[in-house]
This record gives sequence, structure tokens and C-alpha cells, in this order.
Amino acid sequence: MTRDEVIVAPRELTDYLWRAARLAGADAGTAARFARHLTEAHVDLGEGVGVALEALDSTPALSRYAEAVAALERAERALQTASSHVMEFSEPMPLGLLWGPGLECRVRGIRRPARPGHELASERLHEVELINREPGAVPYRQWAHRDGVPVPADEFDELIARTKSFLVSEQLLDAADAALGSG
Amino acid sequence: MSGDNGPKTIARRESAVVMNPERLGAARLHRYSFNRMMIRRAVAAGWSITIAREALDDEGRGEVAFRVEAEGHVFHFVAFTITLDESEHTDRVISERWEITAALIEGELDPDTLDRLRASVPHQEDARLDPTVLVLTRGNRSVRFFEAIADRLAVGLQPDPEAVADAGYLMRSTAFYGNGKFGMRSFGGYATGHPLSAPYRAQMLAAWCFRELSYVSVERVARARGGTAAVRLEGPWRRFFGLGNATGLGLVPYAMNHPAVIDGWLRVREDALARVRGLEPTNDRLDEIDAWLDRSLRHFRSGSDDDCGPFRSPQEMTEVAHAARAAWIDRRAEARPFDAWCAWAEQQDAETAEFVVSTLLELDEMPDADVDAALLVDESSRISPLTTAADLRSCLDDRYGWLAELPLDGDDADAFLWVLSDNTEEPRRTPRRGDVDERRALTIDVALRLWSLRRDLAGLAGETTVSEICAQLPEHRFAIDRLGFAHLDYGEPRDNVCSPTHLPLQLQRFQLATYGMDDFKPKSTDWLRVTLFQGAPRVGDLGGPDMDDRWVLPERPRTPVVS
Repeated sequence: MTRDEVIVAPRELTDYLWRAARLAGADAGTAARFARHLTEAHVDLGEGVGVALEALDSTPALSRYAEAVAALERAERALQTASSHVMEFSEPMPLGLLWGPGLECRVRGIRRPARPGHELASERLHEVELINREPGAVPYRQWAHRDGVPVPADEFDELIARTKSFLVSEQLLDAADAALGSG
Repeated sequence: MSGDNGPKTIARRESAVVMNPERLGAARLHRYSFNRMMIRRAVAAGWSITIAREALDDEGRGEVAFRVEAEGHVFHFVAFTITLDESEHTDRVISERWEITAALIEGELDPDTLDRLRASVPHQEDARLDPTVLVLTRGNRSVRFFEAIADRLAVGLQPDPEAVADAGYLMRSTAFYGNGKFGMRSFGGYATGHPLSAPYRAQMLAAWCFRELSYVSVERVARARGGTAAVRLEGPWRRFFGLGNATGLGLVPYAMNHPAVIDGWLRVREDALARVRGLEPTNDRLDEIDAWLDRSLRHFRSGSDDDCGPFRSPQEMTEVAHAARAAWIDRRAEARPFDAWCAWAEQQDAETAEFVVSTLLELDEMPDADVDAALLVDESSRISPLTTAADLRSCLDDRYGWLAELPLDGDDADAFLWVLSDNTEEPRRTPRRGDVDERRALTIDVALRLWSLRRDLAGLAGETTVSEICAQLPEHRFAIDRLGFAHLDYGEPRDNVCSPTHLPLQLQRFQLATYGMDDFKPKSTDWLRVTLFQGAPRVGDLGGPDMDDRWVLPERPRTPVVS
């Protein structure tokens, strides 16, 4: 490991992304989904943390992630009566924002047709085709849990810096306790 | 002796009973508590644990490493020890200095690895670890007893039982970090069949070695002080001391955030209880209950009468055990004595009921491998975006009717929120309408969120889909996803953790008992001290003859032994 990258456990990444999303204004449930989905994208594809930071910076925060989720939900509805559906994006959508919600769709039998080559989370897509198939399982990423995943150090530092204010001052908490007379 | 009708199928206890906070707060260690499961696995699979390195000075300061060989894997528990002035001791997780810091790693302990651990482990939360590290822990010596016992051993004497009083340990730990924290390996990274692939097994192994470190340290100090006159802990004292642990609020967010895990723990216990209740009363089984009751009574009787409120002290538990034994004797000759005894217990107070449950569980014979498998759960919630408001309403009505029994509309129902302190990220409660922004709150206000969802669903058309609800009312996303666990009987503690009446000790005790901890000594509403591995075999006993599983609830030795 060099300082160019940091080895991070997936759960640690999820924790930090959740905090960052909360501080950016996301409701708790959306923050939890965003954190899980972008961790999955980073583990499966790479470059997910960068995509997550960019999504947190969108205006309003996470609006592009919400757009991705909404597109997939519309597709799922369309696929109740069709065998395939094409999602189109006026502004190219990072694959990393579609990846995690897409895995959930896979559990319900909706997936992208097989594609050659490796894609990165940062890849931008104008359109995505979805088809009906047999329900599948979300892949179990034991290797990532065993070995951790590399994250560019500057991105990990940025993520930690953004989440610092999630923590509450010990002095403030002690003062509140004292005011309540609690133990 | 044999029953009339063969094994009888008895239903598991209802969620309303099991998930009642008072019942959770009366839980006791049992046959499937994690530390007992770990030792049984170690025995069955032929693990060995030896001291690989001992470099301690006369005060017990330095380094100790235990080597664990388990099923083709090698682990090391590496401890760094110093001494601190008593004024620097604290049980709070936020302390900056500890007398003992340690890590459990997988792999060989070569010089580079040892150097790396020396540079990181003493720094605890400030360290950046790597996936070869499985557990990070720390603690202090017991101020009252370590020195006194070292002095006794130094002059050739075993501990004075009166002076030991309620001391169940020589060292007290505070945290066993694992599962991906600070760059460590995640639990999900253990392959199927790995010796540590059961929940908390790595932490239990680390705790067992930590307990052994306390013996090594006190005997080392005694040798330095007494020379050839010094003796080791022997006879009934050899296994008496466990490892202390001080536990704060961190367990509460865990219990509220992991419904599938909590359900798994309780399902194992409740399935076992249901099986035992249906058993026929063979002589061996009847004798086993007799023996466990005797053992429990001896244990409690030899314990302290300290104020352990709201829990019972060991002396107060003597009364509980006496009453339970009397009820057992009355029912021992019945056709279904285990069921009858359990039915009696269910009519008593929570402490009595759960004492009987933990005793009965000793009769269960579920293979440990099956228990391990049952504890591995899927934590994902898969609510389809096409699920409708009518579906959600029906789910809330069917599975969460208990919400109506909590005063969730009261003015102070949301009095507190839970946050993480900037000092080592310790979870804390704080007034909701104070200075803390709600975005920094931990999402463990489950009852409030479900109740709020239920209220808002009443105003929506039945065919409204989840995606439409979340677009209009995004604050309900969390509660909707939570309904993905509605099928679990034991996933939701029936409590509002944001209420001023919430007692964290109850959820804490449930989890600690599941780990195998005992001797609950609350120090406030928010934290308590416990003991684990008291009476357990020593790590060096592995491979020896005396590895019986019935080591819990040891009796405090009664008389001083002169070596």
C-alpha cells in the first residue's frame, strides 16, 4: 500500500458515505441506500468514491443519484409489460450511480444485457438498456471484505474531512448531560 | 423414566414476550453464548494456543504474544503493556491511554509485523490497520486486585477469598473493535469453514487470550517480587478469574441497526428453548437440570451483595435460583417437566423467567455447526419500489401493532437523539432540541419513524407506490426499508430509544449475555461492568483432559490455599 491509495474495508466506506450524505442533507434512508450502492459500485467497478463525492456535490446534493434511482424505478414499471426498456439520460449518467440500484433490480429479475470488458463507476452513459430475466442474487464480495479495497488517498481524505462535522463535540455533550443531571 | 407421547412440538415464545425490553434486560448467558461456542469449537477442532513471545519486566510491562493454531490457520494475539497511575484509569471508551493494548492478527508474527503492530496498536482508534488485523482491543489492570493478588502469590499464598470479594477478573477490557473498523478485516471476509467465520468468534478468541494475559502478567509480577517463594494461581483459583469488560452505549445503536442479526441470535435461543420444552424427561436430563441448579446456587451464593440495580446482585439471584429450584422440584415428576417449569417461569418476574430459560437451554443438543450457520443472516432489505401504500399499511397493522402500546405521541417521545461524540466516536444521547443538528443523529429512532410512517400512510391512496411515497415524503424511506425485516419475529426491540424512560442497560445486557458475559454491575443508566470467561479453561488447557463445557458460573473458592 502506498499513500497514493488507502486500503479500506467496504463497511468503513459505507459508514463514511452515509455520514457524508446525511450532512449533505439526505434523509436517513436515502443516505443509507446511497452509501450502500456507491460502496457496491466502488467494490465491483472501481472509482466509485470519486463518483460518490461528485454526487454529493451536485445541486441539490444527490440529485443525480435520485435521478438514477427514479429512472430505474420507471424502467421497472415499464418492464412489467415489456421485455426490454431503454433508459435515456439527457446528461450522461455515471454508471456508479446506477450500479447499486441496478443490483436491487437484478434481484427482481431486471438486468442489463451482458457486456464485454470492464466498466468503471465513472463511465458516463447516455442510455442503458434493461431486460427481463430470471431473478439473480447480488454478488457476494468476499474478497473485498477479506482484503479491503483500494481507494485513492486524496478521495479517502476528502471523504473523512467532509464527515468530521458529523461528530458532536464531547464538551457539548457533557454540558448537555450536566444540565440534565444524567449519569 | 420416559414420557407418554414422545417429543412434543412446542411453539417458540411470542415476540411480545421475547422483545419486551424488560425481558431483554434479564437475559443470561447460555449454551449458545458466543464464548462457550468458541471454546467448544477450539476443543472439537483441536486448536492449540501457546505463548510465542513473553518480554515483560518486573512490573509486567512489555510485550506478550500468543500463537493460535486452528484448523490450518495461524493467528497471533499480540499485547503491549505499560503501567499507568491509578488516576489515569478509566472505563470510558474515550480514554487516550491504556495499560494494555492488543490486536489479534491472522498470520505469522515476523519482525516486520511486530514492528508494524508496535507502531499502531497502542494508538488504538488513531491507528490505520490492515486486513491481517482482525480485532483491536485495550484495557487496564483491575486497580483493586491485581496488585493484591500479585503480592499474595509472591509470598507463596493463593488469593484470600475474603479480600477478593467480588473480583472476578484481574484486567478489564473496554472494546473489541473488529469487522472492518480502522482498516481491519471485515467479518464477511472469512471464508466458509474458516475457524473464525462465526459471529464474534474473533472477538471471543481475542478476549480469551486477553484473559490469559492477565494470568501471565500477575504471575510474572509475583515472580519478580517473590523469587523462588512465588507461586502460580493454582487449584480452584487457576480458572477462577475471567476478563472484565466495561461497556457503554455503543451496544444500543448496534441492536437497533441490525434487526436480522438480533433476530438470528434470538431465534437460536428460542428454537432451542422450544425443543427442550418438548423433550421427554430421561433421568440424564433431569439430573442435568438438578446439577445446573446446584451449580447456579453455589455460584450466586459465593458472589457479592453489591447494589446491581436495576439488575439483581448475585446474592439476590440466590433467592431467584432457590424459587426456581423449588418450582422445579414440584414439577420434576410431571410428564413434561421442562415445559411445565418453563410455563411456571413465564408467570414470574423477568429475572426468574430468563434464569430458567438459560438453565433449560443446557439440555439442547443442536450441533454447533448448525448454530453457526443459523447466525449467518442476510441483512439486506428488498422492498420493491412498486410496493403500495396498502401493502405497507397492512404490514404495519399485522407486524407492528405493538407500536400503539408505546407512548409515541407524547411530548417527550422524541426527547433524545443519539449521536457520535468527537472523542473516539463514542455513541451518546443528547436532548433533541438542544444544540445538535438532526442531520448528525444516528438512525436508531425506529419506533418513532415507523409510527410516523403509519400516520402519514393513512392519508395516502392505497395504490400509491413506494417510489411515489418516497418522492413526496422522502423522510419515510428509512422506515419503509425497515419493513423489509417485518417477517422476522425477533428483529425489533419493542422500545423507543429516544424516550426519557428508555433504559440502555436492557439492550446492553441482552447483547452482553449473548456474547457470554455475566455478573452485570451497572454504574449508571448508560454503562456497566461485566465479566466473561470466569471459570473457563485456560488457553493452555486445550488438548488436555479437563475441557468440559460446564465451566460457567464458577463458585468463588472459599478458603485460602497455602501452597
